[in-house]
Amino acid sequence: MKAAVRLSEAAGKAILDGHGLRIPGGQVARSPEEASAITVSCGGTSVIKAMVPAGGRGKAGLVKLVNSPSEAFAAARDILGRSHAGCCVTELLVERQLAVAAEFYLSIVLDPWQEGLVMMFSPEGGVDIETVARSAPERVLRVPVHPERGLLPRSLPDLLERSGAPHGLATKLTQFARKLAALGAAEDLLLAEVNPLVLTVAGGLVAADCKMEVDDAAVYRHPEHRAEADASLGPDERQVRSLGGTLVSLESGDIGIICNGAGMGMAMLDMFRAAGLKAANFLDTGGGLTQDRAHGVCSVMFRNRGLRGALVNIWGGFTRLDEVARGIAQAFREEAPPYPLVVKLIGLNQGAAVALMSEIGVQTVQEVETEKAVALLASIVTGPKSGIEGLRASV
Amino acid sequence: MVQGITGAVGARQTRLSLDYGTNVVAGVTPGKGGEVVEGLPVYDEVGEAVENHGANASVVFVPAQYAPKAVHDALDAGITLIALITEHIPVRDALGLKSHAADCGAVIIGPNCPGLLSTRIGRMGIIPCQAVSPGRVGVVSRSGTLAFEVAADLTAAGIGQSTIVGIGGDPVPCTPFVDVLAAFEEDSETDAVVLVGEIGGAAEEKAAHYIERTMSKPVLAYVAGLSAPPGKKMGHAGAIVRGSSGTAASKIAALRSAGVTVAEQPSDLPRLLLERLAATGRSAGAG
Repeated sequence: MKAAVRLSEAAGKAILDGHGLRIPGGQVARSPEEASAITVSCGGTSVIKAMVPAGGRGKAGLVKLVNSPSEAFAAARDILGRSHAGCCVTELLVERQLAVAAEFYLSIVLDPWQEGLVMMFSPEGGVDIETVARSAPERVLRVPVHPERGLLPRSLPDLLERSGAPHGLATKLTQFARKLAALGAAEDLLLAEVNPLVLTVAGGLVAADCKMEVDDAAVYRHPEHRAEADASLGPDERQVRSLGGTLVSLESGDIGIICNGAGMGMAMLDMFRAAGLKAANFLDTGGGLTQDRAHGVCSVMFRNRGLRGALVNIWGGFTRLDEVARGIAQAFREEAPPYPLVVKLIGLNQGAAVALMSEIGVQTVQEVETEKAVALLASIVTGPKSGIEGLRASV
Repeated sequence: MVQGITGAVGARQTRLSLDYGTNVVAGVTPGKGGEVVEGLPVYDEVGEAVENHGANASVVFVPAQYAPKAVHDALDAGITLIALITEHIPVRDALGLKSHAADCGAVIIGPNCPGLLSTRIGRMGIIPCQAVSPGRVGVVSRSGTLAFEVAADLTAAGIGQSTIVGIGGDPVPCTPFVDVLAAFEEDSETDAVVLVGEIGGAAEEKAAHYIERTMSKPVLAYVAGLSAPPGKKMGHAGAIVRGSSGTAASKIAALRSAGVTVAEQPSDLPRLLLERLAATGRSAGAG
């Protein structure tokens, strides 16, 4: 799946609204007083929902129906400040309650099997779609969305009815779906999920919930989402990201990995497991590593005092290894890691790079099989303590 | 031709490809027509490179915001093979490129890929020449650096390669595994294929489907991510393991039931390849 920026329900609904799709009336509240006041303007009853970009809010008690402004006050006071999926609740969406006649599922999603964007519909709304897809696949409709025109086939109303949409509603559902596909294209969404899409007693279609993900690579043309993109990252993750890389922290490990390429990083996790090592993290430097970026990412890794060792594994495809080596050396001289470091460098300007590593006494590996570098690191960190002399030898 | 030849990466990689023996004839960078890079003429427009030098393939080193236009221009000018190296191209743009290429009957490798290298013909992209050696094994991979590693492992074991294709790390590559496998099946210079996959998406499952139904040549694979913890964003900037589909385990199972030999580690591939070829009475000669 692609890197995507998850929008809050409120932000997603604002986008729907901006494109002419109906959402429940409501506003964002940041205090119990605000929640109470908004509930009054909703007619005295409302739904209070925690704005955190993660699922499972209902089960966690972060979504509450309230029947008076004072109940709203109490619910808001209870929910604000709680933590869910690593996020702290600082905002609530306070909305009108809907008079629900039926609930459907509708989404536009990037589907690797179809190798493109698809529209998904099910007459089973308000539940996990993957469960429906398993238990009643005939009630899940998948229709490809044309990449440029963003349109759906003329036969859509018919297809919707055949997968269980109530008779007479197909035209309205088709209109909603077409608008959703169009806005998905305009906003560079990899996911636009409305679940449930509510049919009200009055006969209208309203998006009761909304989950949207913006293609991270397209944020440059939707800069309003930049802040949300950075919000879920910790300080180290954010710093590595600003250097063009990705840092993923893993549970309970003690060896650091720096590599250029996510596939390589995952392969290294496999190799670590075979060698009896556990990775604490996985820093993918991204392509075209320069001296500055190498210096930056190594500094982040070297100041992590909790590690027992680290392995830097860089392939020089269009990355110049002498530049990388200069960056590593710079970070090393500023703050040498308190643990053994093994560096594997293969490719462009490898010779110069290895010479630079040898100047600072860092062990390098020049055999192509990364498994050998992993084995070397394993022997250093798990074997008997070797002195500085042992660390200076080049393999 | 090389689009974006005047950038540092474009220029350096052009030199390396020329040194490898590739028939690079010109470069294109709008606004820099008239310059000369690595002895090659630079033009403003793709059409000029086609008209003056008969360029029929292009490597694209243009930044993400401008790359889609560069590729559309190349397709309009009749280029039939494009290696789109650039990463961070929005999915919407990539889907548009894929659709345009299909309309033209052209092939785009990428985006976000190291390109391709045929040991008898040349190099389009950034695959390190020291990793490769001429032979008869095809390599196709989502990951760039893993492709280099696997090629290098084969080379170190004396097993040469015919063509190496990096299809790229984006969730919807313009050319999927299946198309490259089909090309290897037709290729008289390839006897066996190594496929390098990873978690996320359905590419390996679709490949397994194709291999079982259609391929006669032996296929071996390595799938990265068996040890990746579920729920964590890993892989190409966010391959998330969801439920039981898209996991390394499910991909490995699908490939194995299609008759693919799946290695536990990349460095096991040379030995497994030789065993597989011996079993079918072939050798891995560097012919």
